[in-house]
This record gives sequence, C-alpha cells and structure tokens, in this order.
Amino acid sequence: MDDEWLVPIKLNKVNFKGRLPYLIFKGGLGAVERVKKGEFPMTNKANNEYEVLSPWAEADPIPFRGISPRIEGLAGKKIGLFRNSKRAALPLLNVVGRRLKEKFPTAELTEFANQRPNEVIIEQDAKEEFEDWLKGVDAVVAAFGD
Amino acid sequence: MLVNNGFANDTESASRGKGMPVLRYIPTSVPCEASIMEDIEAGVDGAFEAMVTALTKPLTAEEKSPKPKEIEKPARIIFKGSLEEVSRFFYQRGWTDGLPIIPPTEEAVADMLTGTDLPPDHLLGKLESRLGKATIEKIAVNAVMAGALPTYMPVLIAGTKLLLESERGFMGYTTFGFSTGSWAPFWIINGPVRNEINVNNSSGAFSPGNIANAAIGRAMGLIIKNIGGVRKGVEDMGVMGNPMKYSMVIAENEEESPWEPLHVEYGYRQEESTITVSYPQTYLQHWPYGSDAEGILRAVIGYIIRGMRYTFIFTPPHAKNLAREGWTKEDIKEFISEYARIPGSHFNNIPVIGGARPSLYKGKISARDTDTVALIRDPRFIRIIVAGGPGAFIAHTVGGGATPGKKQTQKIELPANWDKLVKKYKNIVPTYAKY
Amino acid sequence: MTEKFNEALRVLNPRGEREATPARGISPRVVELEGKRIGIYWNGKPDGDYFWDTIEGLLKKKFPTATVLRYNGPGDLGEALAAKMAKEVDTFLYGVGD
Repeated sequence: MDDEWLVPIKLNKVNFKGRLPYLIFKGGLGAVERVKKGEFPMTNKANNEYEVLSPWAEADPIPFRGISPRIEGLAGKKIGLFRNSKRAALPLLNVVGRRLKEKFPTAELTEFANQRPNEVIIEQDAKEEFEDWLKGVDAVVAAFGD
Repeated sequence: MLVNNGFANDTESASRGKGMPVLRYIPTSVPCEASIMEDIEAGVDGAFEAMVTALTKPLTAEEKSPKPKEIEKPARIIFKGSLEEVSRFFYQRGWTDGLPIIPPTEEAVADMLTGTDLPPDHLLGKLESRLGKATIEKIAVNAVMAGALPTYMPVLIAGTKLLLESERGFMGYTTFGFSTGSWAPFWIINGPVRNEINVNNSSGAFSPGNIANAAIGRAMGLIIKNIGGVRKGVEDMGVMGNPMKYSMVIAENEEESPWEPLHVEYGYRQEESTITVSYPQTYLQHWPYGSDAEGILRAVIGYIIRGMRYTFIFTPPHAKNLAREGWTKEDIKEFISEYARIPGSHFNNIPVIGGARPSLYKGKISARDTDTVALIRDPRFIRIIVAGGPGAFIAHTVGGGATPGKKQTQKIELPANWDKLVKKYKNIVPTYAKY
Repeated sequence: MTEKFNEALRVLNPRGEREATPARGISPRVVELEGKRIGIYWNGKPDGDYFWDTIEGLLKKKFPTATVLRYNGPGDLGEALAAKMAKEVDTFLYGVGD
C-alpha cells in the first residue's frame, strides 16, 4: 500500500527512530500528511508555563457566633422538637419524642414545624410565632430532612 | 440538629455560611425521605445518646465564642505551570467541571474583558451560598476557563445578575442551585444577540458542537461553583446529578416562529436581547401522533410528567402547523394545563411537600380518587419556544423555575464597541468537510 | 510574565482514517415517463404513504400510460428487493421520510 499521500502543506520533518506511521494534521481542512514509516517528526509537548488567575471569588467574613448554653440534664425540662417540611423529619421526631419520654418521663415536649420548603422560618410571617415558641422551651432538637 | 450522615459536609458548610461554625449536629443513619419505621427507629436509637450529650454537655470556649473568620483574600495569580499542570491544579481544587480548562492568564482575561464596558472590579453582587463577590473580573476568569469568546461576556453578566436577583425561597436559585433534585440551569437567549454570537437554535441545538451553547452554560456552571461556592456533595447535594449541568443553552428561533418570542411575551421589546433561566431536572423528547394540531397536542399531553415548571420546544414546522390552525402560545398553554390530567387516586401514595393536597378549581374542592387532576395547575408554569432542526421531535424540559411574576429574565446590556466585537468573532463557526 | 495561550502547537488529527469508498454514477435516465413502469418505495415512516399516494395520483394524471408500482420495506432495501425492483421497474422514486 502506498504510504505517501499528496499534501498541500509541507511539514518540517525531523528524523526520529520509530516504528509506527504517524498522522499529522496541520493547516486547513483536508490537509493530511502521512509520515513515512520509520520517521517520527518532533512533537511539541505543551510545556510553556502559564501564570493564571484564580477563579475563586473573594468573600467578606461573616461574623461568627457561638451556640446557646447547654442545659443540665433533661429531667423536668421543656424540649422543643423542630422540623422542616421534608418527609422523614416528622416520623423521626416522633421516635425521638417517644425515646425522650421513656428516658426522661418528666420532660415536656412541644413541636414546631417549618412547613415552607427551603424558606428560613425567621424570614416568614410565622417568625413571631416561632420566636414565642422558642421562649417557651429550654432546648431544641431539630430534624432537617431531605 | 439531626441530619442524614451524607449531609454532614452540607450541614457544616450551611451553618458556617450563616455564621455558626460550631453547630452541634448529629449525623444519623435515617435515610433521606425514609418511610420505613424500622429504619427511622434504628437511626434514632443509634443517635440518641449523642443527641442527649449534645443538649447537655457544657460548651467549650470555642463553642461559646468561635474565633472570627479571617477576611478571605485568595491570591489573584494562583498558579504557574504548563497547560496540563494548570488544568490538573484547578481540577484538584474543585474549580472545574472535570474537563480541561483554558488557562485564565492575565492576557486571556484582559481579552475576555473587552466584551464589556464594566470595569474589572465592578461588583454585581454576592452569590450564594458563600456570598462570593461576583466581580466582572471573576466572571471573566471563569469565562476564559470555559472557552468562552469575549462576545459572551454580556450574556454571562446578565446570567449572573439573574442568579443574584433570583427570588428567595423554594422557587429560586437558592433551592435549585443546591437541591438533592439536581436541577440544572437552562438558559434561553432571545433577541438580536443570538445571531450575533451564533447561539444555535436549529439542528441539534441542545447537542454539543457550538461554542456559544457549550461555553455560556459551562461558564455559568463555573461561576456558580467558583463564585457561589456550590460544590458537589458539599453545597450541591444533587443525588443523581444532571448532565444538563455541563451546559443547557438554546436560542429561540424567532425568525421562523409564527408567535411572539419569549422575551416579548415577558414584556421586552423585540430588538432587546435577554436571557431567561429555569431549572429542569428532566429533559425528554417524543414524536407527535400527527403533524396537525391535534396530533401534536395530544402527544404533548400524553408525555407530561409531574413537575413544577415546563418548557416545550416546538420545531418551526410544528409551530407553523399549530398557528395555521389558530393556536396561539396562550391557547397551547391553557390546553396543556387543562387536559394533561391524572387520576386523583394517583396522589394517595405521593407525599406532598407542605401538606397540600390536590384540589379542583382554584383549590376550592379537594380531589377525590375518582376525579382527574391537572398535572400543571397554572398555564403560567409553562413556557413555549420554537427551536430545533428539520424533523418531527418535540422536546420538554421539566423541573423548577420562578414563581410567575418573579424574576426570571434579564436584559443583556451590550458594550459601546459591540458591533466591532461582533465583527471580530462572528465568523468563528464550525465547517464540515464532505466525505 | 504571563502569556496568552497563543504559542503554536503541532497537534495530531482526531479524525479517523477510512478507506476511500468507490464512487459510482447514477443509473441512466429514462427519456420520458409515458408508458414506463415507475416504482415508488416507502420506507415506512408515518404518513409517508399519504405523500406517495399524492405523488402516484399526480404521476397517473400527467402520464396516463405509465404504471405505478408501490413497494415498501426498511430504509435499506437490501440486495434481494433492489434486484427484484430493478427487474420490475424502469425508474423509481425513493424518499427518506423521518
């Protein structure tokens, strides 16, 4: 079979010891050159160095705050059970409630649900109701389902 | 706080993002959307002791008063290396979509910035979830990485504004950019800019092969990731993921449409250019039953699946056939929302978020098992555009999107030297050799 | 110093090699359609039959002495059907519906 193909563009060939024919495409559509058997032209490795900008945006620091003080034991305490609107949160808190009552029979349990998916409760009309509920509990167990 | 153990990273990221880096949360084995009581009980029992401890163990000093976060100022020039090394470096920092990137050198970014009049340090806003500063330069860096041309900058700036100004709450970017549902941003471009930057609206419009369709979507994805800080498995909790997140961009074929284009429907002038976003989870295609209006529309309603927002893409011949039989876009939307129905009994096993039950007639009567219920309650949940090549397929996208009346479209502002820019890049188009 | 990505790189061709397909011409044409046997092949795509019904009607109207023979099958006729049609018709029409 004829290895040589007609080419409109000449490549600078460098003799290189090798066994396989190598196909180089340079120039416009259809410009093809097949290198003779036994020859490898020198190929570039893309080893120029590039200094690049970071895509990662700056962000202002958000003020951090700590978490609420803990309670001493759960006996006799008012425990709030808070959930979001996703499916497993309610049955999970029902089980939590049962277990709490089994272990701490004098604990009182109340519930609050954020029924609006993906909306923070304090940004809703229910904010006041939620804050009143919070005032009436000593600790909260929250279940966030998804 | 009790969460599924797969959401530990997400919980930490979310609470840090809201200023509480030391939240006491308990990862449980309760599966997401669990309905098997045995699993729920086992998960609670496994977490109970830790939960009680979390409520009662005294706070540490760090928990009482966490060290303030330092101002984040990532180096502007982040790396130096070969082509391969740059791609690998960026990939290993979670800054790419997995594909190699074009190195965002000073010169490449400066070139990209010729696509806008806005100064590089102009701040568009702070993008959720990490409230990263969306400056023009950062948009340009991500645009270079994506392989965009400078003429795409106005589109990317408009797209970023859409995300920044998205409605809060369930139907906005803060849900669909992050949700387990893997909702992908779907960008529809209208107006003269479509043809000026060669956004495909004809044959294979959704397939790879056009720089604009590929790079605009890719760049927006990188902007969400690197400016918004939304990463897979940490903030983006998409369960299955979505290939449309690589890029889902189309222009409307306004020239061959018998109807007014999408942006005119939304109150813009024909000669203005806009970008509109929705967040489909699903993309499907089907044949019509016939090429007449009945054949087309009966097929469409036969392929409606449950979702929130819909875009239907009709080819020009189908659109013309529909229009010839007197159907406007509004007629079609009303027909689909009226006649795409399922039995009321279908909802018995479907948990409905927020407790709402299917109902008839504006929610006034609850649906019985024997009633049929509309799958699409409101024609405004539907968009219709004309696009696609020769052939008889109809496409649907199904998923999320804005509440009707809320922000979903952004005007594309063009720089003063737009005509010159367009001229410079207009002829970068693929050509195909015969064989 | 930063560099634009503009160094010339010699790159390999991603297109696969292929054997050259022998080119051949098309069959000789009939001089006219009167009295001829005209084959019509339908590839089965929906509503293609209506299209060919219309063509058949027009041909019969314009060339009353022509005979129209209808065939249908898969998109690729295959050797056997092609050979059969070649014996039975003087000319034929094939349309790719989709």
